Amino acid sequence: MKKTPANPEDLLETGQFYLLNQKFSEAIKKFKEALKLKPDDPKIYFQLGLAYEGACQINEAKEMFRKVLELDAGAKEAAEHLERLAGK
Amino acid sequence: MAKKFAVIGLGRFGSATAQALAEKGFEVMVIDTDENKVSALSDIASQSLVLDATDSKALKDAGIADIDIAIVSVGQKIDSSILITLLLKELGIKEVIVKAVNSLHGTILKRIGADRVIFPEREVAVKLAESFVSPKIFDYIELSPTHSVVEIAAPKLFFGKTLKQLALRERYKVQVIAIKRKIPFITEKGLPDFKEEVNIAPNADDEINEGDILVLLGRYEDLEKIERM
Repeated sequence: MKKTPANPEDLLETGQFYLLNQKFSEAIKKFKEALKLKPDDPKIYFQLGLAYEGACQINEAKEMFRKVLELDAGAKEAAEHLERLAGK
Repeated sequence: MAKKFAVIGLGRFGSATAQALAEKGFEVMVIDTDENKVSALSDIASQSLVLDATDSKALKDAGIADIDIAIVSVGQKIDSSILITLLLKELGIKEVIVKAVNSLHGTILKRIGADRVIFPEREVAVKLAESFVSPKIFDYIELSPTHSVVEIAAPKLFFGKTLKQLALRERYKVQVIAIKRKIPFITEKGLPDFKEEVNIAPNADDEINEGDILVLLGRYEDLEKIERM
């Protein structure tokens, strides 16, 4: 049977499921895969940032939140997370 | 025979050193010009003396010549520390260890015969700096020269285990004061976010999850072991 190619929405949903269940490493994997298919989506960057933050990978988290702001300067949540992580 | 120590200057460093030596069972003579500092250590010291260590006769009368190792830590008083070091070497103390406040002070101390020069502030600062650049350490409070409280990302090995199973107090001599956990939820916009939950004085049955931050109390070297896991 031929494997159906993954679509970014499914990957995002699976990632979100892992994120909400505090399985941060698994969530990171899914969001990264989703980004490969949709590299300019600030929502994916934001959630990848959350997953990194959840896994205590602070530098990676900051990088993702900055990326969100590059793509969408008005992303309030990303700015808040970035501020919260400043100095950490 | 066990070595006899003298600690001259009972600031934070001197007092901690005297205490550590006494705990290890050594005879320690403690000396300072401040009566309060001396009496604070009188229970653990073999001899506690209020005297000015720059006074050669007073040192001699105190029986300093019987001491094997003298530790001099008179804070910022560079001139006093130089004079005391000189006197101790003249009185025949085999090993004189002196706390220096800066490199020049250290160089002078070595020239006049100090056997060892230490820079505790610098050493602590280096350790602190190292701990801050560690991506796993989120906060650090120094409680005393030996103990601190750190906020540290739970190592992978701890995931899914209870505090009882981990037995951190027995195995690593550290106490878990609190566990900080990020609890995910969905915002009104339909996006996930976190709120932080702090479990203070956790129970033995509480489990460590991925992403937990542990607030640990312990000796620097024991905390470092966990940080390196």
